Amino acid sequence: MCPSCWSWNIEASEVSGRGTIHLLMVLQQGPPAAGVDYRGGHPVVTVELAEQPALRFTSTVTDDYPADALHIGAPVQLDWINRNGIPTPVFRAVQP
Amino acid sequence: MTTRNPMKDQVAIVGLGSTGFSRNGDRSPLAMALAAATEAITDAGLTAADIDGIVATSEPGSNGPEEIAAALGITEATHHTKPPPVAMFSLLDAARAVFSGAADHVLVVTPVIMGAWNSRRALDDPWRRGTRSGILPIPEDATKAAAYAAWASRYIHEYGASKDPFARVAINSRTNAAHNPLAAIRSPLTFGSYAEGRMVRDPLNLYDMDLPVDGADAFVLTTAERAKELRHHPVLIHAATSGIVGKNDEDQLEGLHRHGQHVVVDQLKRTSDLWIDDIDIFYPYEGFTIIALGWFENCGFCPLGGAEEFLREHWNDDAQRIEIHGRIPVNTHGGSLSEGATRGTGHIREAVHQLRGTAGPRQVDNSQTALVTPGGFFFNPQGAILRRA
Repeated sequence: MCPSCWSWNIEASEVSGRGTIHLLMVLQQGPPAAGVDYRGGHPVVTVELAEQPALRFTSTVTDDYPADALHIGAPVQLDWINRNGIPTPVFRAVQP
Repeated sequence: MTTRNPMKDQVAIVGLGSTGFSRNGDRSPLAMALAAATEAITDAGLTAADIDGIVATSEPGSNGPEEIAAALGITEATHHTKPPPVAMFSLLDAARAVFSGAADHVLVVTPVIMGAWNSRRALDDPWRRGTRSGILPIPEDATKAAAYAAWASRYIHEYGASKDPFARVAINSRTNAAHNPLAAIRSPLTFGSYAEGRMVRDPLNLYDMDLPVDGADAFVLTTAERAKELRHHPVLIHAATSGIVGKNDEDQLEGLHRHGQHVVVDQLKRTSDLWIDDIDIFYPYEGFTIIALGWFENCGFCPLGGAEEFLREHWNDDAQRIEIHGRIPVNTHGGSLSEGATRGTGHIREAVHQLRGTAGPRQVDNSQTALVTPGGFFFNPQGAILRRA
């Protein structure tokens, strides 16, 4: 149901996967999780997608994400990686 | 025990919404909750912007008030709770929020699902299998729902009762459900089919136990003053309570002569100006038939153990239903046994429909006062006197 107009006539629509980092933290410890290495810090990013204000998606970043581009406001693009056999959506850095 | 009731007639039920109830549901608890909630808010003549309180009953698989608020597009709320199941806990919470000033327009929403603890069919559904809250021990013991079968045999033993009064409660519900489009089962039930009903927890058979269903009910409550400006004729909460005795474990209950139903009845009598001689309609919860027998007796319609004689005497044989003194119909919507296992929201919704005059083909002429008694013997006996403003 649409929370604005209460219509049930709704459908999923595709998004570009582009956006900017809105919330950011770097986990230095945590419970063991497959494909997660806390030793170098495990980033968690909430990305505000380009399509609409406050439309956000939370995941992590690619392994090769440059450290100097890991900051709030950084432009990113959704990518898919294979983590322990499971397709997982993560974000990669893009040039501003 | 308190005799105070400052909330008397100060809070009104002004909005009703229901998905209706089904044995073949294919919607999530959230989707059902939203369908009922939007209907109730609209029915009251309000919008999401008016709702500042959300009471989301904590049913298995249900969503909390925070999720309901987001999904309904509610801007801000100052009362947001998730009371345990059985209808009146949520209605009482909402009424007390309105009365205390915690919120002005409070939404109550209660979705129910066919769960793995009460429906064999639900076990085939992996998602339903996951909602294991409330699941019974295997094999069942005298706790949770099965306790009502254990106490039913004690009732039969102590009072020399037959299954006749049990049958009348079940048949009454089915007769009334025929006129309720929300009901899950609307076909008639005869004494013959009741007697042949598959025995499940002897002495209780299939027809003694409510129907596991999917569906949701929703209500909107506000002050009696505010209610005058809204769409429907207000229905006021005159007196309402829940009640337990201290020793309320199912198998440790002192006896059929003293449990939570008695506490509820005593409290209502202390705080209400109206009692059973004043009511026009009666809604004794019948999640199990034995529970309704308890309500008839403990409310004082007949003495303890007297339900068999009472129901035979107040039976309309042509209509195949209970009519107390030929005047007061009972569970006019079909109750939990035939409308579906709403844990009492159906009883309250129907009472409000009757009192405000929106019960359609089931409308009882000139209904001014209702007694509604959700809940059983142990943890959740509840009662309310509702009246037309």
